[in-house]
Amino acid sequence: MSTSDVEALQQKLKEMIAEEFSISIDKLTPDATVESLGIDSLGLIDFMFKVEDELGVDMPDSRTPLLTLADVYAEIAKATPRPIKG
Amino acid sequence: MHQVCITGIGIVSPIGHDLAAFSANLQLGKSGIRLLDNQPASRSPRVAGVVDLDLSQFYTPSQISLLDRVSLLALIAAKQAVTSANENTLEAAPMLEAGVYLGTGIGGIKSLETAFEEHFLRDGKRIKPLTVVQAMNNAAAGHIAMEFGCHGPSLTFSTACSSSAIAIGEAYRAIKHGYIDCALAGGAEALLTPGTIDAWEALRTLAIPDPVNPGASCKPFSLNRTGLVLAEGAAIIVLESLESARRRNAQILALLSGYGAKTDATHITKPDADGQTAAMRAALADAGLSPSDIGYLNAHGTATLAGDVVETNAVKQVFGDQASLLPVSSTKSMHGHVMGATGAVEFVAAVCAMNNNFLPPTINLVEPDPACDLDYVANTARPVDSLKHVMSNSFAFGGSNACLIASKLV
Repeated sequence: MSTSDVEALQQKLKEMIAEEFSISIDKLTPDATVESLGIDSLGLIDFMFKVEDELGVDMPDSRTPLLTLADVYAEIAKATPRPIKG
Repeated sequence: MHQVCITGIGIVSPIGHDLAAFSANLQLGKSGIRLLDNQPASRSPRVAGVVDLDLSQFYTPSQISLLDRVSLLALIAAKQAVTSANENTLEAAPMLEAGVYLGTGIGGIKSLETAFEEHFLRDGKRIKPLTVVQAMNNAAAGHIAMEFGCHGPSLTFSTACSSSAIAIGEAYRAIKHGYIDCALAGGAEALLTPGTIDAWEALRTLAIPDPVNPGASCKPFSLNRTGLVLAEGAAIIVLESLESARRRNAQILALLSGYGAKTDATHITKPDADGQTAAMRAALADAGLSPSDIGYLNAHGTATLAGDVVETNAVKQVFGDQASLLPVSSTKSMHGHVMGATGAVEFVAAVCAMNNNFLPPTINLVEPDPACDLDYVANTARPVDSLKHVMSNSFAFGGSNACLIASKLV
């Protein structure tokens, strides 16, 4: 992924998080912790699932702790495009 | 031993989204049954008792996404119940040690069905991650406990059509015997999914929609009855020891005076008059009442061919010579069969009748069945001077029968 692609992805994710959890977008800095934003673990898991659908990607099966938004972005960046079924 | 009373009632049903509307519509004989929308064109039309309530009035999109419909309906009913239990009181109902006793037949089936459809039919790689916590049968009880901070036992009963009558009865016993002082008790069901309706249809127990008036499809005790009508909804009451209610000067809507639970142990679906009789007699004995003390019976009355006759015979066995004098009605003719929540919905209906001096009707009863020959309060509600004791029957697949009795505080 190029730098501009990463930035575009992060911007898209920020917008999705802001809408999903009703959080002001300027609070969504990369070092903000998920907990400090009031997002609970189940809400985050549900969000990641929605991201897969929205972006048409599959995330790897992973147990990486997602503590900050940077962790969330990094996890989503590992996703691979969903194969087209025919 | 403690006396147990009802201090709050919440209800979300096809004939009213709060107690006042529910009671008014019972009295009006209004049907909440209608044709279902968005049915496949290949299917014959279907009817159900639907809760036409805009959930976005109560919850954010995020909450709606995290909870199954059954939990959302249960929470609305529980909030109403707690609000009414705290009206004009010296102190709030004691929620901290309260128990949550909830009945549901099939819990979060909508979430489960949607997830499995995605998984098996659309070859989805993953199932929606919250499926487990949305679909589990005790989800609604867990959310209620969290909402009100109830740290007593949180128990979910799943005995098909008697689930919530059993839940209320077991909560009553726990208070009566001093294990808890207060409980939120009742049931919730939200099973109007394509797969669930198909499964019920396959059992050949669902009513054929009335071709002229879909709202009149459920015809308990009528010669032309064709089966039950599935419905969704929730009813939850606040049960409290009489001492607790009096201490905080709470309104006492009724006493819960008797509960009987007995099992047929004969057949997994076929109703058995002896098992039903045993449940009614156990409730009467528990309340210390004679059959002649009961002024109104809310029947299980599902409108299946077999069930209505068996219940009629069971009532005759218990009430003997008094049976022909006892007003018996099936309010399922109006709200449909709310399955795991139906016992609670109908117990609330019986309490409404007692507190507002009317007998709720069995609507759509235009062709009497010679085998069903009790006074079913046909078609229109009837005023009464006073009701001191009312009974509600709930009989389930699996043979789990329950009977509840409410009494006026004198």
